Amino acid sequence: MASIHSGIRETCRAPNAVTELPRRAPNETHFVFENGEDLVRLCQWAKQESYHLCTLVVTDERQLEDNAFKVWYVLHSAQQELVILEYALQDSRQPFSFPSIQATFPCVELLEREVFDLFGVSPLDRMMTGGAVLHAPYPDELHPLWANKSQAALKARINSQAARQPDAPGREHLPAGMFYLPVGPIHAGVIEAGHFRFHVAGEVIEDLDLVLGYKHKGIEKLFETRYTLDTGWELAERVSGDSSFAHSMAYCQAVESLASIELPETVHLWRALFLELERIYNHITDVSALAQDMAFDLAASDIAVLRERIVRLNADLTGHRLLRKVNFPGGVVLNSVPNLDAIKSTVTEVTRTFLGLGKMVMDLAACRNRMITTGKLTKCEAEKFGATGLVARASGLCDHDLRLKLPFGAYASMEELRRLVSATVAIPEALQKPWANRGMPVFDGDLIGDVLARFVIRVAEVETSANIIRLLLDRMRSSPSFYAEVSPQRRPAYERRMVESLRHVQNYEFGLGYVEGWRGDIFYWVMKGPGDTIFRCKVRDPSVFNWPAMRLAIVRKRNEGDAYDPSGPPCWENILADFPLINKSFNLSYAGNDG
Amino acid sequence: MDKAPVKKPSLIWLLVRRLLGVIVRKPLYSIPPPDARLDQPRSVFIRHLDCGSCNGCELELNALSNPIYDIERFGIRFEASPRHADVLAMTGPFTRNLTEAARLTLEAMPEPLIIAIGDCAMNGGVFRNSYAVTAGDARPDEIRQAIILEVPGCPPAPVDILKKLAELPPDLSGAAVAFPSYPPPLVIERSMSWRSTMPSR
Ligand code: SF4
Repeated sequence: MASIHSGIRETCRAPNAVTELPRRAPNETHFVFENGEDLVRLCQWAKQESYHLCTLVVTDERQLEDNAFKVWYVLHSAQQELVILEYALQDSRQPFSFPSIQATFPCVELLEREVFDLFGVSPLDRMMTGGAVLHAPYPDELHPLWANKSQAALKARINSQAARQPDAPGREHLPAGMFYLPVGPIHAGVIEAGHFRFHVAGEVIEDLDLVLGYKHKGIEKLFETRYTLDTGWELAERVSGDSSFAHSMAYCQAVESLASIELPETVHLWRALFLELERIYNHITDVSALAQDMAFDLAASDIAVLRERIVRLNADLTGHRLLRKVNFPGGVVLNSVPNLDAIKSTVTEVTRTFLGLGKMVMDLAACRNRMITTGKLTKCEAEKFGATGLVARASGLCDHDLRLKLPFGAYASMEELRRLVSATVAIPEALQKPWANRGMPVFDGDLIGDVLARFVIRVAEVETSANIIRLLLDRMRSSPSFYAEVSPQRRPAYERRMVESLRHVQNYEFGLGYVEGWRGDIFYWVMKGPGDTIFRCKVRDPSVFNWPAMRLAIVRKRNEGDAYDPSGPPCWENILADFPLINKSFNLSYAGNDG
Repeated sequence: MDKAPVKKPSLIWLLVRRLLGVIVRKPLYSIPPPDARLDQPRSVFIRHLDCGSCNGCELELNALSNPIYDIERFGIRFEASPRHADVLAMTGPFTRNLTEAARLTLEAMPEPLIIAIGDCAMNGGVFRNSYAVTAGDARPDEIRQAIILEVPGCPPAPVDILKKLAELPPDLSGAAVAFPSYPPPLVIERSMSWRSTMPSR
């Protein structure tokens, strides 16, 4: 594959207007663009070379030396390479517009809408409308993330100004026989808040409007105003509760890369272990919920018991059921000496029972029938809309896993771990072999991105995670200091070291942290302000890219502008009653998306 | 790694085990009630209301329904509609975007009662001071006044939630003043239980 440098030579009309900044890490390149069109052209080239978009960050640097808003695109290639593209909005005619890459990477759309609400900057080629995260209760042009706005000023402005008219979604005239079915934002189960508006013809879902942003809590502004670099982990682990550890780990990595700190190997091992524990308990929860949605309550409750066992193991190890308060920039601490054998036997036993139960659900004709071809997301759609994580893997993008593509922590240093991970990602190709042995279903072709595929991937990943945990435990056992470096006594030393190294970092440097959580890749972009403050912290949860993908999986597939045709191929349709099942099989985070 | 074949438990065995549990009246997994008051007969229908949580509290609320905590054996149930609910379980720091929806949900209840689950719902937790939330005392009056119980924790463990729920009176009817509900008022005589409506023999 061609390197990004040759891409720049090939595509940029003015290669001299592109400056390369010195690398901070061997796999990280950083370019400053002066010409927006070249930036867009380079992104088109990158898409063809199968780069993935990690995140879009906007910073308000109007008070700093560059005197402008800045847009940063972060991309990664399959060759473990990270590319940062920087562009300052210095065009005095359009100081609030940036070159958009949405035509190339459609998944950036939600991020762009959020940026429009929070900064008031919009893409050059399109009119934007607000309302992505700031709904009717907020006045127009609030721009909460401008650097000069304080929380008090924002609140005063919101309270003094009359609320906007609620932005009612457009009501175009539907063809005869079709109607709207609004659902939410408050739902009937114990689930999060978001609004769905179905366009239904009979029972078939023709289209779906998603209205998210109800849970917008202003997290990014809170990072800047209330937290410092060494306390921000507290907020990071509450961005999305079920990915607490993954989020805090990504945050910690960002701060550690900023401070260029090397961690002891044990810390990496423990972090990987907790990450896999989180993956296990969440996948088990989802499989249980899927079984429940298929009215197979017997299996659902047995699986829920397994989930509780892992959660209690978390509590034994760290003192918190959701793995909070263990991870902080510079290290990890456990609350007591762990019994490695007990961890191993619990994990082994739970996964063994779980695999059996998972197999039982899949073998039951009623369940299989319910899942097959329901909520299908084709490979090409997943690729186009940048689906990440397990959703992408279930659609056949089987190596879309940050643990392989951009290894971090223990995954970077231990080849064996990556080998284990690629054993699961190889399922589609080798579907006949490992799965047939265990009596798992055998497909004719690839994983086709339906509910069953996501179910299978979940079950398979639990097994992989258990294998990874066993490997990590063996590695720990061979080192006598497996506890000494993560005992609570070490915490002050770790923190002092962190503060010390942060002092040498220049202001307005940034660090990147990335983790493959159970839902998909999580990116943190942390920029240091004066002292130990955070100037900007951009959180990118995997749900941001997967929501549009879920919409596609639900609606009846048709080409743009096609009339409603009741005789369309049946396997591409989903009916209303499929929605809960599909939603569960994706299980996206509303909280992580809304920020 | 571990390549031993996984045996599938047979459906029959699961059923038999469950049945045995019913016959000998011994639950398979469930913990003993964490509070003696939970043994009283009670009927509490709870409706969950998400006001911007991080979804940690939802995880623990969901865990209450698993066979270990098995909240329904105490007569507590999660309901799908506010119309049928005795009380709302509110999570999250009360985001501005959800204010209207939360108000409407409360209005749809027969009596406005709220349990605040988690630190966020009590005082905003880590999200306090954000421009986007109206935590604690800044919340609308009707929400603040409807709170009858607070469960601290981030998130509170299922056992903690159960212990707190034990403080609820076994019958919530008549516990609060009627809330001006929107027309037509769905007033059901609360004192009239289904027994008194049956013709006497
Ligand atoms: S109390 Fe804690 S767990 Fe619950 S919603 Fe708030 S931050 Fe999340």
